[in-house]
Amino acid sequence: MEEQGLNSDTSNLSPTGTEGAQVTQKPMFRPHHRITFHGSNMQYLGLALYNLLLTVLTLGLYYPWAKSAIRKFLWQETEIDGSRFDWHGTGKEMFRGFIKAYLFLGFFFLLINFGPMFLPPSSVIWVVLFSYLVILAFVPLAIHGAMRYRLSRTSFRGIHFGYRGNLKEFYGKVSLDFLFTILTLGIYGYWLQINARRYVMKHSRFGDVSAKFNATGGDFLGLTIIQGLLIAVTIYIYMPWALINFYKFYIENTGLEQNGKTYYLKSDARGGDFLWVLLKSAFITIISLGLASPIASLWIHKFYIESISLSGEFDFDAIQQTEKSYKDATGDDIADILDLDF
Amino acid sequence: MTIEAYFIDGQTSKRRACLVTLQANAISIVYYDDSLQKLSSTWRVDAILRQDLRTTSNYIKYGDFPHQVLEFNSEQDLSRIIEYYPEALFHQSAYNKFSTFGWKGMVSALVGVIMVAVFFFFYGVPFIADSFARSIPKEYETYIGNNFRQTYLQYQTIDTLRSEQIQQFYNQMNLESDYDISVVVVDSKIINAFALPGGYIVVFSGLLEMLEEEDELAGLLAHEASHINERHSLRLISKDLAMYVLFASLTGDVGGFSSILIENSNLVSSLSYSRNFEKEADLEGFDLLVNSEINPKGMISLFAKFQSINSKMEQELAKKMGMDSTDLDESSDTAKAWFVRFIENVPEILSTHPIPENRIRYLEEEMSQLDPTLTFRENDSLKLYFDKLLKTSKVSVDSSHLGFD
Repeated sequence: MEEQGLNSDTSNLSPTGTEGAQVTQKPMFRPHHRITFHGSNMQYLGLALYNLLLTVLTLGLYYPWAKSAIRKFLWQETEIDGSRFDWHGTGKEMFRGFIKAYLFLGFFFLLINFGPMFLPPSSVIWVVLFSYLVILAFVPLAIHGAMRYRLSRTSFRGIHFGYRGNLKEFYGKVSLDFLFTILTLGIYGYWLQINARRYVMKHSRFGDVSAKFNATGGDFLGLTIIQGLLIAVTIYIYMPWALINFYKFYIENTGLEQNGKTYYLKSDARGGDFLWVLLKSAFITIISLGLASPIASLWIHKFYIESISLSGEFDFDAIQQTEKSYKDATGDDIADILDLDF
Repeated sequence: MTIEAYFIDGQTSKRRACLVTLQANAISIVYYDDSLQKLSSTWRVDAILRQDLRTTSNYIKYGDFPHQVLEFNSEQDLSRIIEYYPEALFHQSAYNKFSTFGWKGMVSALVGVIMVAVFFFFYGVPFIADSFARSIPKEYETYIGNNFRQTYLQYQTIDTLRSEQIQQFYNQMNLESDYDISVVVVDSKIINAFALPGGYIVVFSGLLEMLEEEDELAGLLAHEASHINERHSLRLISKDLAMYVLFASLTGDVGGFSSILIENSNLVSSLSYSRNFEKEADLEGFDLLVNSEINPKGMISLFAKFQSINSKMEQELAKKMGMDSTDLDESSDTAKAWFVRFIENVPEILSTHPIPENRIRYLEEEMSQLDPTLTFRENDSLKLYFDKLLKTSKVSVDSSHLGFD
């Protein structure tokens, strides 16, 4: 059932590039651009096993190469308007980031996990507290670095994505919001998250197309309260629907601005379908004793990503290259270790 | 050979229909720009960017940033290019070779992963961790042990008088050890004792109450001293640490949930590791005693005591559950009897210590192998200190925890 309906929309979108100057005359109605995902389960499983073997053999040193290959697979199998995305990152770049991230954070995680055994009892609590603070202080840097690296290494039809955020400015905003969050006993955390996302999106580019995130912390808090209530009332049965509503919140508030006009992404994901995918994934993972878990995660990825569409008026043929070359993968790995998903 | 494709120039996202002609060492591309002017580009085959992962995408890239891109109409068209330049680097990679093995490659990779993981898990990591623990300087080990001891004793009542007495007893034993071992008695009903790295032994008064002969105390202390001599606790910690580092680096997850996973997946292997250490401490303790001319039979009678307390508790539980004492005979196969036996005798595989029966068995085997001409010293002085210890205050005993670590 994975392979059905993949090419239905893209056939309408045959490129108009050959007509040259005539492109200004567009038809009144253009079908939505839909994302399709072509990755084959077995191909992905093979890649995951290959990665696992090399990672184990090299005692984990192969991990950055593995991560890069997985990302390349996911990007290259993702199609919109008849073209694929591309991932330019390399294992070598990510290895450098990996080493830096591990030297920084590994030390503090070791302190937290094993410090109580080795440190004088009176100082343990301070050392652990300090370690947590240091790790926390890394979060904005991780987001900044990861965005810069990931976006600069992603392209579509030769046009690179990019991130123009300013680290100092970002730290300033986040620190202030963090202070408010403590003062409001965590409630302002909803604004903290959304404001950070707004900042990051606002400074993300796809060539000369810029992105934006439209929701506020209040919207996010409201959504969380309603979904939380529904989850509680239904004793967690509502969970898949809630997850989809959060996903749609993130996707549908994301807009792309081209020629002064903003086009918002759409997601037609539905909770019932998601529940089915989750059940299927759990089943195959359990029945294979975890060996097929890459396939399960691919199903979930496919479900999420294929639900996305974009107004047909957005012109994928008219994007100008604006990025310069950029290399540094440290943030990417810090983000990975801290399990930040964005 | 000519192929129809799309050309993207790296400046804009515009796809331009083009004709691709394959030459010996280059690809020539002819396309039209917006003003319908005919343009061309030539790609040197050796500068086509490497596509180290064969996916269903059908484009190739060329040159420095910003790259030019050729998008083909089908995978077949891309395959024709690859076949035309079989030696070219842009489509060679280890993974592409691996993927040509199909399911055989996958199965081999899987078997390889399992074999390597098993090897590391059971041999590699314990070996590295052990060597590491053994190479830690003694001073640092004592420092760590002292930390442990301080943290632990903060919340305990120390029986200073009996601590002094037991220390004198230990000194009289005159066991071989590289460590300056100090013994502390903690006031508690629990029947337990344990050793900390660097030369600290903690004995609970509950355990002292059940001792009747100086040999038994000597056996207990020799067992704990062997833990210290062999650095057992440090080696256990070091193994846990190494497992943590291994899992974290394999999963790339330093902080998160893999540490929980390890704790659990590691449990059974840690238990067997710890059982091996206990057995080692029994046997080494046995040798220590013999070398100091102390009769090691006390060790055996100590474990016999644990055994008898165990069966007493079995019977108490059986009584509580409304069973006759005869219901607990070896032959009785009722569910209740099984349950009582299970509760009071945790199966060895789930226990940190070998079961007392086994410990008695291998110690008796050691006894039988002792040189019959061997003599043991008259333990008058040991007996003296032991009697002093016994005379000092008594507490009631809680046998829910039984044994010593």
